[in-house]
Amino acid sequence: MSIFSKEEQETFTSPAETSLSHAASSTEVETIVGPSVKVEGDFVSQGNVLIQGIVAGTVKTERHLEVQEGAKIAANVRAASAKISGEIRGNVKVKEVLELTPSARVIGDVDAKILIVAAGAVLHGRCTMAGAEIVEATILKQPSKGRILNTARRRPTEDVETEYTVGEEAA
Amino acid sequence: MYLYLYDVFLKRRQFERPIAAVETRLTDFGLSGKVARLAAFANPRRLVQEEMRSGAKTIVIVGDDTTFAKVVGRIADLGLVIGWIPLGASVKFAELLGIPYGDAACETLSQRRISQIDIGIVNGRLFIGSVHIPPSNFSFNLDGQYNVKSIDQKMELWVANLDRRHVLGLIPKGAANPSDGQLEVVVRPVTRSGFFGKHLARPTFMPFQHLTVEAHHAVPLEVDGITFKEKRVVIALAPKSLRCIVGKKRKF
Repeated sequence: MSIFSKEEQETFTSPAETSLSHAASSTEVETIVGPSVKVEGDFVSQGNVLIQGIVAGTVKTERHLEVQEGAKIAANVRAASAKISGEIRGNVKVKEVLELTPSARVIGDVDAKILIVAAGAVLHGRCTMAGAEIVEATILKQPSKGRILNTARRRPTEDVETEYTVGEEAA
Repeated sequence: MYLYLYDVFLKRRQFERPIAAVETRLTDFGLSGKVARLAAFANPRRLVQEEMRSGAKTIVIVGDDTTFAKVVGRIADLGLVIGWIPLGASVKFAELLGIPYGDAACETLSQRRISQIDIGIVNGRLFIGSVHIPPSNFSFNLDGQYNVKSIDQKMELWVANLDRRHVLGLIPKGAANPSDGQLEVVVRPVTRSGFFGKHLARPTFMPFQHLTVEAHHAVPLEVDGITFKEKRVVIALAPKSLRCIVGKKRKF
């Protein structure tokens, strides 16, 4: 085995980095909502969208969405990938990478494949990610040697009050 | 068969030699055809339609930007191929189309490189260059789906098709292509105005097929250099694009 083989020199790229670099490389912005503009209604785009102003309604794009600091969105958002630095009051559904920068404020549910939350970002809502169903299935399929996790079992005592014991092995 | 439309100003003495040089080159290339002069206030559409019945398939405009915009605005929907020999003071459109000035344009004409160019319709009038609304109070609706208005009330609007001089630097690179099958609007709200002029905010840029401007009072509207005043403005992409002979050095 050679220490300096070509295979070992290949750098590993995580799926998050791949998705981010893809979004960043496709920087051809098709739509820009400037800082002193307010958009109301169903905002739908096929290309990359940059929002610096105010949007109310729904925001949908087939590609990358960037919400810059100072921008405000009161809408449900759907995009292939997104980078949020402003404020969103609504649900956010992203197919690939959702990145929240330190100035991001999201009040609503988020759904993304990959989630990046920087220190200082505010996220207040339910978070759903691809792969959660796999984790749930893993918990339910634990090998049964009589050990059942997180199950309350009644243990009779001399006292009138009934005590409950959690997590103990069944007799 | 070719039909050459000469603008009225080409009768001046200073254009005698350039016209003679153009006609000689056209003959050399075998591109001879009928010559007609545009009258000052006449509509060239009727003239062109008459010549179409005689077999004219290519209309060649001889003149400047104003001539080109005026004629194209009248005949763009007739399905003809449009050529241009730029002569005159202002020929910026020709640079965008890659057509050289004067008799050098005859070679471009002979190469017959045809490109589809978007045409817009504003309140029933065709336009090829640009539509401009100076800073005014209005809001607009895009594609019947969403409304756009300025937070600070007044804003300036550009819809630039072939004439992108005023929006270069405001739009993403490569955007506002005159042959991409859509129009784009550039909006700049006025954030403050004072003695030294108006300060405009960073631009908003959006592609569209149909745009409706609504205002409480009539707003000035500049279409290919001609100014109107309208309370309601409807801008849309024309169903058919213009088939135009362009040069190798076109900017799109």
